[in-house]
Amino acid sequence: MDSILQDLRYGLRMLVRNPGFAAVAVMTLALGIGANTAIFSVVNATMLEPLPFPNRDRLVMVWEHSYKNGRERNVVNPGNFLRWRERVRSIRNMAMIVKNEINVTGKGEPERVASAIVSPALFSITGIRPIIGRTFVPDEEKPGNEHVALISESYWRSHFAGDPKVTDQDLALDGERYRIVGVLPESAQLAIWGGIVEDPAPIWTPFAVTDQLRDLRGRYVNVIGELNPGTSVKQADAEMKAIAQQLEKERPAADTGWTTKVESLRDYLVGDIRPALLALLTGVGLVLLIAVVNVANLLLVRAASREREVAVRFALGVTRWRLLRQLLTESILLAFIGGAIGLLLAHWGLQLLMGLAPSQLPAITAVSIDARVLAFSVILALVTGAVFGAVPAFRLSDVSLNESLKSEAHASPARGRRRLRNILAAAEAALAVMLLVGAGLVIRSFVKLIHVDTGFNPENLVSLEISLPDSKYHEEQRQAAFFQDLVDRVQHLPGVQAAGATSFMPLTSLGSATDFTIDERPKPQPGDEPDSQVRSVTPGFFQAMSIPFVQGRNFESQDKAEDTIKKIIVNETLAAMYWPNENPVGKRISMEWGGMLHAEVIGVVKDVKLVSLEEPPAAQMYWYTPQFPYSAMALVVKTAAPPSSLIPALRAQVAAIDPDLPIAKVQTAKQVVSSATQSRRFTMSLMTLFAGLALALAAIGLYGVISYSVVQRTQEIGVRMALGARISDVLFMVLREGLAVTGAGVAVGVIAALALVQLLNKLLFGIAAHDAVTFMSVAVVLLLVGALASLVPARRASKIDPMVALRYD
Amino acid sequence: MLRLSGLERSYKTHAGVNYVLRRISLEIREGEFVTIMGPSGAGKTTLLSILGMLDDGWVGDFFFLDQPVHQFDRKKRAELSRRYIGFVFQKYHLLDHLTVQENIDVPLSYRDVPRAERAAIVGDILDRFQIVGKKDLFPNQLSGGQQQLVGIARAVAGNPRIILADEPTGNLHSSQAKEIMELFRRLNQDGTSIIQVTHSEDNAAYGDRVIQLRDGWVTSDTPVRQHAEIQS
Repeated sequence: MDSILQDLRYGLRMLVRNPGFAAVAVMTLALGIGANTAIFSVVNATMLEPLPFPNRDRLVMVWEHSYKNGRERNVVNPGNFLRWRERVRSIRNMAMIVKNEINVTGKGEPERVASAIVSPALFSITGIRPIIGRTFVPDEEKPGNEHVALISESYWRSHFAGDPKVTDQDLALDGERYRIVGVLPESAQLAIWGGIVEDPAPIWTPFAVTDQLRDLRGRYVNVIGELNPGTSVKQADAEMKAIAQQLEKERPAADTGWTTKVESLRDYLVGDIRPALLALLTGVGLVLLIAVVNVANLLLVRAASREREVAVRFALGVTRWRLLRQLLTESILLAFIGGAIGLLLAHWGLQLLMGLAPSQLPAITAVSIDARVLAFSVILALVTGAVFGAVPAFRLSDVSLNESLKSEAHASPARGRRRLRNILAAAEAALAVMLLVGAGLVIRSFVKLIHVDTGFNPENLVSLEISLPDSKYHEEQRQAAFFQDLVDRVQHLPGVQAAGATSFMPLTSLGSATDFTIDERPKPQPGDEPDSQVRSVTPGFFQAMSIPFVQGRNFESQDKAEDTIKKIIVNETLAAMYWPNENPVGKRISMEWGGMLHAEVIGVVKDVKLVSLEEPPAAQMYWYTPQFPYSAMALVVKTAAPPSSLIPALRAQVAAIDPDLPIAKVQTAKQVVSSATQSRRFTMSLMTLFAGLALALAAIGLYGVISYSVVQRTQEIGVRMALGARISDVLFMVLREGLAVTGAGVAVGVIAALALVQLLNKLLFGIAAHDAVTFMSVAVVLLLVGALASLVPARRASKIDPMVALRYD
Repeated sequence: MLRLSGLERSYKTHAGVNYVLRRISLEIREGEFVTIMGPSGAGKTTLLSILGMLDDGWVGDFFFLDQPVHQFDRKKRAELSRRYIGFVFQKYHLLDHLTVQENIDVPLSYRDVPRAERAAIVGDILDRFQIVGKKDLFPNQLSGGQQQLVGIARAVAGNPRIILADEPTGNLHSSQAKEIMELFRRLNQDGTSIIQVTHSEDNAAYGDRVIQLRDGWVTSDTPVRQHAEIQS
């Protein structure tokens, strides 16, 4: 114990006596360990931290999966949910969840809030317990019993001031009274919202199971279930797929081409962001490796000056093992000091990171530096210290006693030492190449993504959403009339160039889609029907969004709600898919939507990205709102003035029609488009930061190695100048060494990157993993950096006074 | 071949100006073997460095092969040194990461000699110095005497008109020193002028002339026989 303390004391003294070296090494390690700790915190919170439910390991999500369009996580038909619930054995209980929005009135300003409509069984499945009151009981699934509500803890505090008697109170939801029966903890959001904490559901109501639900064709519910003890996800998945096959036979019209997918709740929560998180973890890992190699090189340089000390220690009787222990203790001490500062950097960095994180990042618990993250940091410091300290320690402990105690000066340093330092510097360059290639690919993907033609013009475009309560707007014509009236009023506002309404704003990841049939063609087999995205719009929508027509006409007032043959406008892709060599205008289709609808194509518009920027071209059809009403629509307004200046006027127009109606999601179209790239932007920003850090560290490493090489070779350079070397000869000699080291690193890095980039495939858009432009650009950048890093030492070398150099010892 | 007139070298210090060489005037003819002697701090190595054009901080007149070195810039002086002067150091200053053959090749590479010709010259030097068998060895595999031999071979490889040797046998024992001095004598007999700095009277005896320096001044400049008589 004493000797270990002695090693620690001595190690600390060595650092204090070499403040320059210690500062550089500590900061390099702090950056590497800090970055790793910060990213690990996020990985810990999203992927490792246990879900806050008692039976977390048995919770699963159950989806319908369409063979035809490949959508693995399709929302579920509620009738199928009921049929599954009756038949499945491996899943002991299931619940439906529908994400919705609801108008809350009677408590101050009318508000439109997110809500969740859930089966009462959700609470026994997840084990969620209320903070106050109770959760839903099974009876409240019966129609007529569903006018009860649960509220979230944050809503309870903000709207009811944390009143413990909140369960005596009512809420007016969409114009109907609901009795509050309980308050839910915030962790309940995870069961229904995937932890998207930016958009929690303050209000929960029970899902009423009506007789008609069994026969509905639409798919719109999420399903959560609890596996029976001892059953695996794979077993449940197999059973559910068998049930889906039964349903295909029993209900061919509705279920042909559909199967199921069962996955753990954890996989659902993090599945989409797992590739990005793993890429980021790899990125910071590479940064740490570069930092480790950098510090190893610094230690090697220092080792050269400690050879005599080590030789004397050997002469005084130290064993190799004892010496190794002392040297490794010094390294680990350095790593721990770096790690401590790194923890501080991670703490600050996390605040920044979470501020920039996309709203889609599921935070299972708050991202923080908890015990597991601290342990990770400590282990990382230990391993880092051992790794970067090992090579110099072993080399130093292997020093030749005879050679070190001789006083002869050598004109140039030993080949072996220089070779090892050059190898380490080349390794840094290789690691930097790998990280830069990854970042470069992600950046180019992002650039391609933001240049995707959305199909509409987001300039000076504002949107807001309105949901009409069923109690006041039960009749579809009243719904259509409201939105028509609102659009007409808004169109006459000063500064408004065009206004329209749509059932779903583009790029909000929301929408509806359905199968249809083409009249005068043979009826396709069940499961082979064409399908399309479906939107309900008013005529001004296309002008407001600047979506051009390529054929036909827009909706007009002559297109009446009562027409037997409705009017639709299709996009170019749908027209090309189903009428490739024909004029689609005048063609007719039929669609099941609460009864069979028949429609005639009156126009063709350009493709629009309706769901996401990454989506491939897909069939889209637009129905005329009076003929295809929706109770919730988004108003889109094209303005001459800055969009935000119009918002008060828009609110006033809504209030003029119905003062009890709240508006929601007021945003410019540019904000909508920006949100669509938020997740990729986050990954790209972090990868770029890490790549920049890696490049800086690699440049410092190269500079350090070449610089030290020049110092070590001072006498040699003096000799060469005495033997006739010109300044240019010396410059070239040093630059050549630097470029050789960098070039070797680049070559190895490119080969390694070629192998590793496959891991990034899921993060790339519009670009191949082996993109030549990216690889070549990175190689050129690294070589330039290597040349620059060598230039300063090269110039220093060229200014060496041969007389001084020859006396240098 | 070489003429100095009123040459002075000084350094500024906190205490004032320190003169290392004071009004040095001397002439060295082609083919001479000159020894510069004196106590430590006399300015011997400084004088040698100036003659080798490694030191620019002097004043006075310096003619080398009738060319006014005192009027030349650094680049021209370096060119002159590269073409006509060979250096032998007390500590050999061989490049440890290069073999014997490669060490000898270094000065040739700075004279823009084509590769094939360099290979021939190096081969010839190795043969002349009877170190062909050691051409692939590294300096740390040679004895002190062998290293100095290679140092001299390197100095001679560029066919210099004059060799400047700073304590060439300072790190060698007497029998090695004798071999080195014999070699210098043979080189001189073959036409190469030699200026050596040494403390050793035995080494001085190989030369034609001895220049004594003390405190930066030339105190005597005598033929070697006369110098020996003075010493005895």
